[in-house]
Amino acid sequence: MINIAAVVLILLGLYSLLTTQHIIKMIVGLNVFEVGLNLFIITIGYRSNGIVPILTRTNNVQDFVDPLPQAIVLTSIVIGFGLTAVALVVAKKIHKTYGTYLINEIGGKVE
Amino acid sequence: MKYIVLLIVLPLLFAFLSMLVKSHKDKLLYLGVIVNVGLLFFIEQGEYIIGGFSKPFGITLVLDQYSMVAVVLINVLFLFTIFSHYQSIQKYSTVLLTLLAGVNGLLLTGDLFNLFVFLEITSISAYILTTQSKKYYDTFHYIIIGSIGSGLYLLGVILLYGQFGNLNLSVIAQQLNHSSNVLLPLLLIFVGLAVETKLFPMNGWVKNVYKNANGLVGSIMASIIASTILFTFGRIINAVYIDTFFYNLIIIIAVLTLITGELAAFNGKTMKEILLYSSIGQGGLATLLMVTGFIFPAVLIITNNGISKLIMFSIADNLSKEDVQLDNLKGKFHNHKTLGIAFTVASFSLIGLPLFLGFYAKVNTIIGLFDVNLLLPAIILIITIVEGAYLMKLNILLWHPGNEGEAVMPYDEEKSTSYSMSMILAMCILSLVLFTAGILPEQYGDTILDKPLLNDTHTEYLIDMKGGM
Amino acid sequence: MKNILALLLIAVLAFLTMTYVVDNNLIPEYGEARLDQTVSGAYVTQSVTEKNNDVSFGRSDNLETGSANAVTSIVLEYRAFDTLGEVTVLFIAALGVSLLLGSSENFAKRPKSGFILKVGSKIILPIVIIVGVYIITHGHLSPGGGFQGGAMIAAALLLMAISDPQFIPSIKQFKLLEGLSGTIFIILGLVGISVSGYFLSNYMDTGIIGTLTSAGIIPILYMFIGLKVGSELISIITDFLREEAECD
Repeated sequence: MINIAAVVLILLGLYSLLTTQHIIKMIVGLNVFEVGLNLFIITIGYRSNGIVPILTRTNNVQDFVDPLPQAIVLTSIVIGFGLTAVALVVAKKIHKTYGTYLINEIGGKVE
Repeated sequence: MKYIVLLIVLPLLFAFLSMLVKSHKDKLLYLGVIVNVGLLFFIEQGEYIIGGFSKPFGITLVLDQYSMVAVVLINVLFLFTIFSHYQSIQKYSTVLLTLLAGVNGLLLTGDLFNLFVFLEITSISAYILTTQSKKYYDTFHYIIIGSIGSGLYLLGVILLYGQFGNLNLSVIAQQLNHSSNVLLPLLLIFVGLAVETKLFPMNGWVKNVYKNANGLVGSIMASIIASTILFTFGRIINAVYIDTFFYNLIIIIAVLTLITGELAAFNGKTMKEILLYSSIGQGGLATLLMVTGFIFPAVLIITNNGISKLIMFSIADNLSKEDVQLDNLKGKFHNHKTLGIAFTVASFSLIGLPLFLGFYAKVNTIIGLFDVNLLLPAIILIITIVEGAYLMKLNILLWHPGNEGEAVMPYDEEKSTSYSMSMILAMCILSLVLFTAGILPEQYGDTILDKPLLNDTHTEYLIDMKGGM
Repeated sequence: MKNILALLLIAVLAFLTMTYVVDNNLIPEYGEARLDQTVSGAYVTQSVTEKNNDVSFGRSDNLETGSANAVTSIVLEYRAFDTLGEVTVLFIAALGVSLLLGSSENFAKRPKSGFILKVGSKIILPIVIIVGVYIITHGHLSPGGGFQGGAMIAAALLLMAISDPQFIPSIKQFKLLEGLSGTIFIILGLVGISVSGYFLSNYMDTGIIGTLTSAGIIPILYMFIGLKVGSELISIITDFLREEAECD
């Protein structure tokens, strides 16, 4: 039951994102959320007796698994990478300005 | 017909080209914005198919009357923003070009996953623009909440795909009937879009990000991105059939946003705080109208809000570089009379006084809402009184120079920057638009909307979205 | 307090999602996806515009996409607009990183690498680059494509940067390459408007399915995407290797 595992990953990522105090851990939680989401998308198109959707001499087009969720995941992985890159750069700038990565210490210095 | 896709593709082409010619990036930005506004004269309504594969197999771009109004408004407002703030663009030309492409894509697309991609393009460009203020902690807060929102949106879209087998909004709307259970996907899509719409539980990021924004970034976020997301939200909500529980939930959230936004604006201590809380409130009002099906008043409210906030955010930034307390700004407008008049026109239109566009919008709102409930028009009227109170207070403070012997401006003169001619010209044109649309509402309505006005405020604009016409 | 609120929210979301996912009337059960009830049924047999029953390797000629890899035919033909958007997202991310971090000219000091890393990377490096180029060019015949191959080439550069502390990639050529590839991608799409009236349509002859020169403009588009993605990732890596600027 991989789709149940994927939903559990999504929820774990969300929980860690909402309750942690360290900025880099928030970015890691965001990544776990994205991984769970991509995994869930792929399991929507799974067929138990299907084969990989690439035509060769020996397989038949009717046995393919669903290729559309795989194309969606391709885009989603790249977008997740872009978000992580921008978030890491901003985190680096935060460290430069405030000297720490912990939210409760930054909250004291912002005002 | 084929010029519709050029509205999205040409800004992208100019953005990629600007990496090759580093020193002329600004000129490419101006060229891109002017070309987009020029293309608006050539596009015709209809559905444009990309790649030759008709729906639901391919991606389609939909241009009906609703998106025609939206596209015209957003591109023209972008033109005015760029030309009045050309001094503060600096190194952000490429990001502004991709933002223009993303915003046009959001308004035109008819496919749910394509909407996700353009939502991400717009969001990442907005994150980069907000780093202009160098307050990185607030940008980080915005990034995290925005990423969660778009992730949940994608989860909702995938659940819809699993249920219906395709990703096209109008085809799914035709396949829905009253007995299908789409509560969870719609809830996730709604939460995903509610982050940018600034609805109640998800607007923690708004206060700091808008306070730190300078004139260019503030106007873009408050008028262009906010209006676009509201138009997109309206398209999705009106294409699907909502059951009662969800309907009541959205109405409660929208009304809560409206009330808390306007009350917080009443207590605002600085000028930008007042403006940003007013933006939140107007977003809640537009959402309320979209979900109850009154699209024509909603479009008027979004137009009114977009134009007024553009004027007000631009002028607010130039009055004081940092966000000082209100007492320091007493009587500022006596030195800048033209801008003061523009600001006052915008605030009158926002309140809804007669002779301006806001009056026409508010009247249509209240007439329409009488069909739903008797409580809602009462809330709108009370909120209008609150808006009138704080905006009038702000205007009187800015015009009245204080008593004779009192020092009018306690801070030094260099803080008030000199205004460029283009900004003064842009503000005058925009306030003139608000004024003429108020005096001749039927002219304004007919030239853009091409339908009889004030006959029924419940007109259906989304052709082909509800079962095809 | 915040923990309890977050736990409550997660519990509500978990309850709603689980009851939706395990209900077999809504989404198909895990492992039971039916291709003929979704749009993928037409994508796979390449019969979107006209009905086509015969797709066999090495024999079918001039199909709609001509690509043996069904995922590639979706990514670059049926839903090519999403790929354009995805390329743009990566472009904006690289742009944002260079705007924020690109101001300093010096590179941070990297630690010295051990013996195995130095020698091993010299052996592995050409293999990685060749495999990356292979994956880009065979995107329509085997798993892979521009994004995957471009990421491999950028990983090769990262390996070079880790194993040699004095290595500094020069960015200017990569930024030019990035802009050029993106421009050519859009121009190829715009040519489609003048040839057949639709943006990003496949206007070249799609050949016999399964050969290297099949699938019309798809290998060409993938090549430019591969170059663009590779150069963007390289410029992101280089910007992260810079040392921090003194004052903002």
